[in-house]
Amino acid sequence: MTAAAAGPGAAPGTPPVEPSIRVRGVRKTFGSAGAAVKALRGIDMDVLPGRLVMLVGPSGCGKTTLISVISGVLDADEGEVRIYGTDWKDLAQDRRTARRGELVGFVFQQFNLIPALTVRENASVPLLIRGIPRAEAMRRAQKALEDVGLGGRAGDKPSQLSGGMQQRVAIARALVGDPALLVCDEPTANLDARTGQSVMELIHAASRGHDARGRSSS
Amino acid sequence: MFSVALKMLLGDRGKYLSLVMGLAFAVLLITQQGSIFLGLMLRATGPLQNISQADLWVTDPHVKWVSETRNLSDADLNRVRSVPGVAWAEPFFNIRAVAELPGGNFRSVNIVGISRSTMVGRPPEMLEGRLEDLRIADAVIVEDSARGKLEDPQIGTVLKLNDRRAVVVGFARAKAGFDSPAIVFTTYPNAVNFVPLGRNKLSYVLVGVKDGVDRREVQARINRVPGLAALTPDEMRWRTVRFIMAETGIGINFGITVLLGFIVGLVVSAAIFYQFTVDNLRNFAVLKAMGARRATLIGMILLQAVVVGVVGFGIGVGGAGLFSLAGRKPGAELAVYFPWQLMFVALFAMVACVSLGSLLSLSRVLRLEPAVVFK
Repeated sequence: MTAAAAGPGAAPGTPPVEPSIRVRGVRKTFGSAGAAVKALRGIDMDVLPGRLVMLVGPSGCGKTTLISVISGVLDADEGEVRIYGTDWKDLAQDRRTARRGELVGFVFQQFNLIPALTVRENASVPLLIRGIPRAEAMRRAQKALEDVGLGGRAGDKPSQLSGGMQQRVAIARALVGDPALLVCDEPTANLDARTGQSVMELIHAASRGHDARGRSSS
Repeated sequence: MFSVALKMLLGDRGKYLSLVMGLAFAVLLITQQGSIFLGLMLRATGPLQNISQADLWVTDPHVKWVSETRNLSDADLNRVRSVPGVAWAEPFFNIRAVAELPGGNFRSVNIVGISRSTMVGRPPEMLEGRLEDLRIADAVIVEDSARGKLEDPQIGTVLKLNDRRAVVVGFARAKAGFDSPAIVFTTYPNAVNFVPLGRNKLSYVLVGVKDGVDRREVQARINRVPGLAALTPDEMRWRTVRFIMAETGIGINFGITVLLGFIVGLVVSAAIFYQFTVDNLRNFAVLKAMGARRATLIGMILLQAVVVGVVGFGIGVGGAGLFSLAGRKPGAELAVYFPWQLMFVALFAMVACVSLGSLLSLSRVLRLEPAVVFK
């Protein structure tokens, strides 16, 4: 597995920047005894603020496990994962869940939109979870959808959208709460090349300041 | 998040309907069968409900229920009358006879013979004719729901009861007995004439207790008379209910049906609700990954369970209520009694079904690793 970073780096002579993600000695094993699979074997990693980092590697090399551990949805067996100074291990389960909601936005390979909700409602879910009033959550969700070029489809159900559109809804959902960290797991895997390109442009734009507007892939 | 929970629940119409209907069916089965069972119990004690004047019912000590008696004699009547504290004691006759109908058919009828002088034991409500006309020789008053069974007689119609002439002088409304026979009221002397029984003719002696005298004390005095037992209407009612429950198949049969309804409802509702949650596990995992706390998820699942429970309960009780309407018509053959307490029994059953389903669902959702969203 390799990590490729894009974005502003530290200029020569400027003071060192505190990494937003700091990973040290992280190990994760699935299963036990003879059937044990060592997914992570002592990972060290720093990510500076404002960076877009891509984890690249063959299938089964532990990319998804690593981002699961970084985003706090999976516990590491060993090691330290600090996100903006907070070690996930130091937080109780409920506190960790709430902190994850505040810090992390997710974009999944499978989109993971809730079929019974409209596009706008799907995009508003992270805000509703935080207890933001429904009207305000809907207003901000509408804005996030407009940012990804889907303002006109806000009342549709996910099943009425193409795969690329659904992924853009997922991106709007991930960005609506203004997270410090956007975690994407193979966000273009289920999309054709052109649609995948537009989704990547959205993500790249998001990493530059959450002001992205994608072009339609339909 | 409650609106999200509701949309998740209502969004899958098929599952939502099967969940609600499974629960509604269980509630319907429990309440409807329960109300028929209670209706039969109520009907079995019909003769007791028709008579409000008596403080005590005196009969043979071995009588097990109100419609099956070992008759008493006139001497027993006089013994009761001589017990201190008895204000009045009147004969009551309740026995089967065969009515030959004008069209050539015949029908089993229940002849109720009441006191000719005091009319104690009279039907609760006269619909046509005058109660006093019952004092005419061979006169009978037909219970309203028996009109059809007796080929729609009118006032003046002549029937034959055990091959003896009987003239219809009126119609009254009264509770039918356990097997809802046609009931005809007449005076005790007329009844004895229709059904000659020899020395022991009395089904019951109905007793009124003097004002200011303790009914229990009078009851104890009558009970000391050999061969007699005095029962309050409540005691007679419970003796009848116990007999029906223990010595007929009705108690066990209805009990099994109600139990089956409960078990089916419990298993089906819990299984469908659990399956509904399992089908939504990925959605719950997404919510968990995005920051939904345990309390939020518990609230969502409980809300879904409450909505399903309330709607299923409403449909089930409503359906049972519609059944009971059919039994409320005067003379209806469907024996239904739907007291408010029965709704609480159904409510308890519904809460049990829904609680099991939600507990199973909660245990699954709370143990859920949010990392499954990446799979």
